[in-house]
Amino acid sequence: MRKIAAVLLILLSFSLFFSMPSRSANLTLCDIKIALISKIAHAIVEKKVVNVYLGDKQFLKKPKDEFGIRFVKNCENAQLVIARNIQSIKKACKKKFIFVTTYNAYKNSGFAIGALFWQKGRPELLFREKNLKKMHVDLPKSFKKYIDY
Amino acid sequence: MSNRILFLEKLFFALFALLFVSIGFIYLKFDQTIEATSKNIAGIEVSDTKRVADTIDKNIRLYASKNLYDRLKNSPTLRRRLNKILSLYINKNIKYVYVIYKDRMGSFRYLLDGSKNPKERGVFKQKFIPISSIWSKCFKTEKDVFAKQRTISTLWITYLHPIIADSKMQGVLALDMSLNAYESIKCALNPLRNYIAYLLFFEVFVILIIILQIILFVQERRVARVDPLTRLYNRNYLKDKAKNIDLNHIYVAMIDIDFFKKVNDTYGHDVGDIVLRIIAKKIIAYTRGEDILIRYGGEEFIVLFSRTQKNQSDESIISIAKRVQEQISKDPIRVRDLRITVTVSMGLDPFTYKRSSLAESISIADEMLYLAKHNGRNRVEVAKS
Repeated sequence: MRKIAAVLLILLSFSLFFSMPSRSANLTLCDIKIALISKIAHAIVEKKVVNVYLGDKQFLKKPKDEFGIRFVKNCENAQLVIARNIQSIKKACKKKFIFVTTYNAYKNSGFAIGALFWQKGRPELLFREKNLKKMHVDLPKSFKKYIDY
Repeated sequence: MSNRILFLEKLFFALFALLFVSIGFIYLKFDQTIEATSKNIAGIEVSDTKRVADTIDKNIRLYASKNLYDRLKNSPTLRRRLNKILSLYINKNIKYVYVIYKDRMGSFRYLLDGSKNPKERGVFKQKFIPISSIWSKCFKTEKDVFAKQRTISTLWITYLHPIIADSKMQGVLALDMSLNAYESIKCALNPLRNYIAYLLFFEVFVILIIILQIILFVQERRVARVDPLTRLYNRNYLKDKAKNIDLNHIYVAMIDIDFFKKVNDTYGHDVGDIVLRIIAKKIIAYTRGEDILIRYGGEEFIVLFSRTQKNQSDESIISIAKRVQEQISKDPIRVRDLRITVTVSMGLDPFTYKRSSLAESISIADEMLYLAKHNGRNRVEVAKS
């Protein structure tokens, strides 16, 4: 009888430990941003690995090459350029797909194809319809709600 | 005295088990308790927020009783003034206050935003992408709606209040509640949760030590109950077995190697040990799988023959015992270049089921063994009753 009780107790102790709510580490803001950039990059560019130039270092402090994107040092080698504003981008790169990281930059510049910024704890994603058409970009259906007419 | 100790031991064990289970239960219920407490506080916070929303609504309509979008579109001054009013309601519990409208295309856009930080402030007509479905629900039902934020880690509850003027929906006033209240509940309760977790961890640690002790005990007991020379059970095993053996299911036989001292004296103790090992193996080979062989002393063995059926005839066990004795004497033992003929004498008690204890049956088997020795050795003597 005591043996059975001991075995039950042991089983219970292990089951209790394994059934404890897991406190797994959440994704960091940096990871979320990289994942979002990846989604945007692959929605715009049909390539397995998209080269991204990060002009706004404040937006993403630790860029990592993952989720099918590679951060390049020269914007000329990039397919997607992420910048704080249009003025900070080299002239040669202004014809590339440009994403800005503030709403003001998006509103005041006709070059940007879209914007990705954080507001009220929420990620905000916008695509400018006019530029999408101009650059012959057909977004997947799941991105339609982000198009700003 | 021993009964009292046994009772105390059982009581201690039961109390420990109860303590362990209850601590585990409390720990698992902790999250639910925090959730339930925060739900209650959420109810209070929501009703407070509703009053704030009503007040803001009145304030907005004071400046723009109808056509809110048009009024704001044409007057940046009014926008600034109303944004300022909204900002007055931002405090440690309400993080963001803003107004959203739905344009002709069905997109949500900012009308007003009380955020003090320009980075956080939504610009007039800026597209707003709702994460949850409560926005559509509020526009559709034109009633107050609130929901807990699941995707935004810094916010707790979003409260939506429709602004209606002239029976027309002008927009939705949104109040994002910060996690402060929720976090304060969690902060207050977390030390207790950690304390319980440590207790639980300690108990698991104690249990692991007990398991280790049990494993060591079982190993030690096994070593203590096995004879290292023949690998047979020894007297310690018999002592333990005697406590819970059913005399109805066994026959006891005692075997002694004849003239074993002579073997030792003639060939040395090394050969004597080998002979002992071989005899043990032979007895195992000639008995059945369910029979138990024990090395009782120097050259003495006890066999606990299994009595499988109640009506099993005593003759059958006598024939098995005789077979063992005959086979050993027939087959000489080969040790190195030597051929040693060894015989055994056996005393058998086929009436173990009639005895009051195992010790009594062993004693009778021993008497029979003595008789076998006395009657010329290399034979089996069977107790008559």
